[in-house]
Amino acid sequence: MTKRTYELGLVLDPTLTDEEQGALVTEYKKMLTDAGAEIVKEESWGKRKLAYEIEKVGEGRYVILYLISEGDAPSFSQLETRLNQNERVMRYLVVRTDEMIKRALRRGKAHIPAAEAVGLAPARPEPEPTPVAEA
Amino acid sequence: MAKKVFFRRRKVCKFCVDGIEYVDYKDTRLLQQYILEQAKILPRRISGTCARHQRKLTEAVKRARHLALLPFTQD
Ligand SMILES: [Zn+2]
Repeated sequence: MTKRTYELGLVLDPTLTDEEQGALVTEYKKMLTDAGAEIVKEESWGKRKLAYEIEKVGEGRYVILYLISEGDAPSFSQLETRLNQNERVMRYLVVRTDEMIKRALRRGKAHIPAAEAVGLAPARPEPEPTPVAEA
Repeated sequence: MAKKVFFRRRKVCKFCVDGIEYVDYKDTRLLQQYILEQAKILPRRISGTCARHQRKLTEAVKRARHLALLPFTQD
């Protein structure tokens, strides 16, 4: 059975509240689950300055979802229709990552966080936080 | 009379040296090192990046631009 992994990157309206963002992301996660994907990790980067303005808006809320699917390839078409319809979704990107990751793991030696996120590489322990100098 | 001295830096592919095979579009700190002023991708002949890694870099930069993580340009 083929295990596929994906990332869904979302850039959302910066004026959304945390609650509104949560509700929106929950809706998309439900659609992904219905499409046969499992969400294994969710990253919220918060509000970030965009590298260029999108319709005169200079900031966006970034969310990255890491997905796994076993068996048949999931269809993202319904989700994409919804994403396209919602004007509070400024940008989105779906990337299939498993093949790229496997090739990279065979050949390279550098740490691949994207592989850890979907369980294709063992998680590395978090680096020790730098101790704050005592006053 | 002062002699002109030319330093020739040997160009090597940083990705090969560091064993980076997965070029993540979200790693803007890495990608930014390969972006010029007008948001263009640094050409291989300048950066020393090998053809294989330049392809991966270009793909990652394209993705990062789409999500407004890097600036856009025509290149
Ligand atoms: Zn290389």
